[in-house]
Amino acid sequence: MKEHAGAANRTWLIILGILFLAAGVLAVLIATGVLGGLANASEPLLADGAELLAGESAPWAVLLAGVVLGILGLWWILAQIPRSRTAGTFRLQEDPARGITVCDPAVLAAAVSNETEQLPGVVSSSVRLRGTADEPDLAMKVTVNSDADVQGVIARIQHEVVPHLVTALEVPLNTFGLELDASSKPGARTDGARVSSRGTVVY
Amino acid sequence: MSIPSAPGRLRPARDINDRGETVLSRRVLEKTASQVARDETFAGGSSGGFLGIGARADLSARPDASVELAGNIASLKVTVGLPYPIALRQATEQLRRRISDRVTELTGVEVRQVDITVSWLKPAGTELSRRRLQ
Repeated sequence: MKEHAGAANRTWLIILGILFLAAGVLAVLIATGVLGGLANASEPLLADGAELLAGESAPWAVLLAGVVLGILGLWWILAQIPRSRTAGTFRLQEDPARGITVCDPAVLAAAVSNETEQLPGVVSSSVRLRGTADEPDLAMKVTVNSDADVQGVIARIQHEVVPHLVTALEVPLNTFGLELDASSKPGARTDGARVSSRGTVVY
Repeated sequence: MSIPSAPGRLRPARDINDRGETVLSRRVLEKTASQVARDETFAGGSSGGFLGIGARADLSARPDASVELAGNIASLKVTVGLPYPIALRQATEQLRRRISDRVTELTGVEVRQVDITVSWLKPAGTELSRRRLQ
């Protein structure tokens, strides 16, 4: 349910790996004397190194390079923080002549979560809806306690909770993921049992 | 008593535009729209709270409505809560048609657009029974 910086990590590690590999190959070639013709071993590698560093713009160039490297490093570290992947607002109807209908996926997710937590044995649930209103993806994490009939909870989620969401959206789910977790906490608090009654009101 | 003969003393026939005008405040349209939504559809709003903090979803409350007027043509934006589960597209289409028909009928202002934002969904159970008792 979280978005990690996996792709960015792979890209940057490949780039850094290639750079270090190139540096290593270069060092080996110099050390073994293959590149002896280019750099004489007895001479310093940077013969005019002192003048180069004493130049007018050298400190600024080094500073700039440092700042750029620092910013890249900071960006990379911040990219490691996992983020929740969110969906855009669901547009249920888009007819500019008559008006548009929108619904935040979090609203639907809250309704699904609320319904799931009414099931016996369910301690908590976290629901995320992604995708679009026409191709919704539902991911649920449901925590149950030891009193729960796990098969029963799964069956009721599949036969009651999910169909209700499908009814609301009027399209079948594109994907549906369910993760179950166990906890020792007591079941979700309810405000008491609801009993519907019929009768005559006498004024 | 004599009938005045001079035509100049008769009350002159005036153009209909000179009889005055009725100005309908924007707020009236907003209240009309939200009252129609509350009374004649499934939609609800939020009630209680202070400055919008602590308000709770209530199917018997009036939904929020705001109106943009261009001459005699209005476009409305309503923020509603709906019972769950309900077919959202059908319910909001019905709500849109109802609001636009009734607001036009009650105020004479042509409603061109009704934008609907669904702000919460809630099981209907307790709220509806409470609403019936009122």
